[in-house]
Amino acid sequence: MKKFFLNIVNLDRRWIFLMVAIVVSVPLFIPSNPPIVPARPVQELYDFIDALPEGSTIMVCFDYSPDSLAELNPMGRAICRHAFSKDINVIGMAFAWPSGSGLGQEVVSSAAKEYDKVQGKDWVYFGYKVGFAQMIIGMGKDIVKTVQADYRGESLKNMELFQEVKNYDDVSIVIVLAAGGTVQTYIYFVNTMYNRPVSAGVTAVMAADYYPYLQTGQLIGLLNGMKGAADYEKLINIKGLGTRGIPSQNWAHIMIIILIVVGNIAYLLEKKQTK
Amino acid sequence: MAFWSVFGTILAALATLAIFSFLYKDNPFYRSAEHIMIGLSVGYGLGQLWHLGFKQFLFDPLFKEARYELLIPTAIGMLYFGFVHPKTRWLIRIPIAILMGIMAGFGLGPGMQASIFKQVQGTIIPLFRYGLTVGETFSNILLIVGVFSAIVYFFFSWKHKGVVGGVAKVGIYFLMIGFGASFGLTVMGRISLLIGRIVFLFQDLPKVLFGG
Repeated sequence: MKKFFLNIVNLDRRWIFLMVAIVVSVPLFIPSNPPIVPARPVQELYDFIDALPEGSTIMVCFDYSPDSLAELNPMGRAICRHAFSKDINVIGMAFAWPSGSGLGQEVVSSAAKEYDKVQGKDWVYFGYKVGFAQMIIGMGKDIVKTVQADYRGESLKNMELFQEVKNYDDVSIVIVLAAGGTVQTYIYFVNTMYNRPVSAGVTAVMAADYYPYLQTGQLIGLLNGMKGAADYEKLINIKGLGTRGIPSQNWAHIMIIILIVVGNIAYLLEKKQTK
Repeated sequence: MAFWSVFGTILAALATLAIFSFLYKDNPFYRSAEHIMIGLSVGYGLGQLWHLGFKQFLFDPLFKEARYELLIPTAIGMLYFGFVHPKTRWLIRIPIAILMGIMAGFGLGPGMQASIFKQVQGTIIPLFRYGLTVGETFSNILLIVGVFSAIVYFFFSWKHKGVVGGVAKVGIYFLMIGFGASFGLTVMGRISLLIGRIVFLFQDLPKVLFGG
């Protein structure tokens, strides 16, 4: 046993990569239904959107690029489906990174198609625009004047949605799906400067940084990585990538805990032997 | 399904496998994929900047609507190119100063309000009050102790000895718990990215190739 622990210190890391790949892949092919209990911050956002009257408008910001797609796309999909199912209008945008533009467009348009929503009336997608902070500040005064055109280059001026929606005052909540530090920009300008509700869905790596804003009420709800997406999918009763990934997450976490314990035992034994 | 959609999906799968091949060892497939990705990102970004920046906010208004006042910010922006010659390098300071001034002006107030005042306000909470549950009381005490001890840890004007040292030590434990939570979340994040790729390779790709 002692020999096993001492040998494991010199284990080629490629074996660990292979183990992670197996542990993550196998559960995807074995049907299972692990219990998903939605976290309180996810429930808060769900309740907020669920309580909005028909015809309200929400903004969803897709501030990420394809490398964070697995965590944030399912969140966007779930939120858009929830909104459209309640006849809530969606304005999508991807002002932070050009590479996020196509991702957001696919998420909003595919969810709109499911619920037979009309572009320009029930949903609009701005896509990427140059001047991130300027856009966010400008939309507080006049959305049409600031953004001017949607992702296809169609002018916003004549769109039905913007006959009602002039600025943030006409938007019920701004939801930021981010893989970088852009949530803070929305907190600064949309929440603090214009006093409008902001919520966020972030990659798990960043989530710890945003809990303080949740506690102070500067964020209404927080979706945390793939678990956050799975929680929201559970609440709207749809099985997406978030839910599909949870069994793999569980097994991968068990494996990593075992590796941490084994690694520490090996380290202590090696230390004892060198003494 | 359209030919280009299938072709694009196969290309994405090959690129994913090429990047994963680095886990075995560095190889030409990995390096090719890496270089293609960098080139594509820069090209795509430049294309977007041209169409959604220059064209939409400068060229079209200038030439189609004759809005000549836009030449003033354009001229200021052009000063960024002063860096190409040592004698004109100082000109960069002008657009940087203007941009910094504007962004600092916009950001300072809301930034202070959102990140300092609201956060301090968030720590002014009742430790004991009629109506609070045991859990809420414990949570509030934990928050106050955590904030106070972590701030003491970063207070370097006094030596960390005696009472100050003890409180700072408590602060270190709170910080360590924070780092542990961040590490756990990082593991979850990285595994999620792998799940995304594996779902794409084993579930989405066969659907595109063979239908279903």
